[in-house]
Amino acid sequence: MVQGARVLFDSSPTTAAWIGLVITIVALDLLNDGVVLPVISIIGRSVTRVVPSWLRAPMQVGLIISAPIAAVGLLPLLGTADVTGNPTIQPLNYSVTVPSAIGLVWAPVMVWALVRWRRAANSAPVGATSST
Amino acid sequence: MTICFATGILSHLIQQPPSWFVWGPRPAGLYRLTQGLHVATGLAMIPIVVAKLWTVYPKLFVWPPAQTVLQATERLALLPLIGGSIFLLVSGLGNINIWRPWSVDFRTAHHAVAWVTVGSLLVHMGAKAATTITALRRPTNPNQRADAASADPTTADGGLGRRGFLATVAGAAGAVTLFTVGQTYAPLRSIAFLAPRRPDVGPQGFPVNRTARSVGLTNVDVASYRLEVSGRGLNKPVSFTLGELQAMRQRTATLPIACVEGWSTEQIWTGVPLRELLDAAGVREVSEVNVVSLQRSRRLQQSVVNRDQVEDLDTLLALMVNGETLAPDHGYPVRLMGPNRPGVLQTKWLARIEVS
Repeated sequence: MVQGARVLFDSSPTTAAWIGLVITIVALDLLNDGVVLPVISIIGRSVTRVVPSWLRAPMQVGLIISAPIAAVGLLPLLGTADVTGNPTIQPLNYSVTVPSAIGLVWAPVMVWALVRWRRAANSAPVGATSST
Repeated sequence: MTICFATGILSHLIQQPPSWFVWGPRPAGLYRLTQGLHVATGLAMIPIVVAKLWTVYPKLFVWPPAQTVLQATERLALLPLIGGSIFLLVSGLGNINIWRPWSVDFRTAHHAVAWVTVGSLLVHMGAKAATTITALRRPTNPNQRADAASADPTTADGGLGRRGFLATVAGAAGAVTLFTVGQTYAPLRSIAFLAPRRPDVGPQGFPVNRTARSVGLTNVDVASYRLEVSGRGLNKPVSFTLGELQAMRQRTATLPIACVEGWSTEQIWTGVPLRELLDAAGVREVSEVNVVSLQRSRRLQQSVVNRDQVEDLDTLLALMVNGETLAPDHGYPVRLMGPNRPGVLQTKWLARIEVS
């Protein structure tokens, strides 16, 4: 930690830059604890309460894997490098490639969900619903 | 995380070497490997860090937050650990996408916060050491062992169990890697759906970081262009025209450009070995040389070539790539290309060489 402070001090940043960096780190803490994790918790609880049991695990797998894919794909999707005038940065059509990556995750997930649904349907007693 | 930290520190040492650090020219693709690993492991850490933070989130609401000074210190140390980890991931992801909304220089901030975060992690691990050792020494319940051996990753209510959750997080890290690593690992290029670079896209078939237009060097006057050699061993500077450089013995080498942002590509470069140019200029003894660009940007204007790199004949003053004259965006009329150097140190649009 001392080494980190030394690196920053040696670079002679302005006071405003120091303060900005500390504020950024604290803000990211607060954003994580106050927004990101609560949202994840709400989504997780919703999946548990609303989704039938045969679909819960596939849904959780799909969301846990596709969320970071969406996060990594967000900046290219927004075209943050457009300001540079350098067409070799973010050269792909990300409005196609990012959803494609997410789709490649959900395809096997849905196959798995289908298998679980068939098992749940086959193991349910005659006349009972298979969604519980 | 260890690989990410170590390769990041290595990259910093190569770019800003202290006196005790020497980075040689071989293996030629070593920096390509280490920096590719740095960015790949950094991206893979995103789902892992978020998953870890989510699993410990309930502890944020424990009341009272601390009952001793030691506990309070331990909890306060979590602030730089969590904030620092998130900052490293966000700033790294932002940097490779040319998104830098903060006023502090990215390289300085990313490097400094890495040290702070690792230090905080060591404090945290030290604080948890006693708890960890106790848990590891506790005899395992045979019933728990049977449950752990079960192949079913789901629980009785149909959701993911602990093993299933861990496997899924690992799968998320794998998926992020799969969809990005193609920017440096060619076999996976076609599925690099999330990568901000395609190593086969750009002038003459590969990317650039800084265009000729952005530095005002789209039309270098070849007639008046001179590459000047000065410094140790020379009473006065020696200049070479582009024609004179082209008339010298040319050497061709297949070398990678490995960007600090994690993308890389291999091309065939042709030019005059730096060592032979220095010989032609009358320079014998070299400790290191400083190559200076025509561009005015302070950070990218020059780079140092150490003695080992100078003596390697594949350290070229490149005039051509893949059999074509260099495009302006790739450093026309002359650029430095050496084995095992970060892309940011493969200086373009060379103006002079200063020998020391």
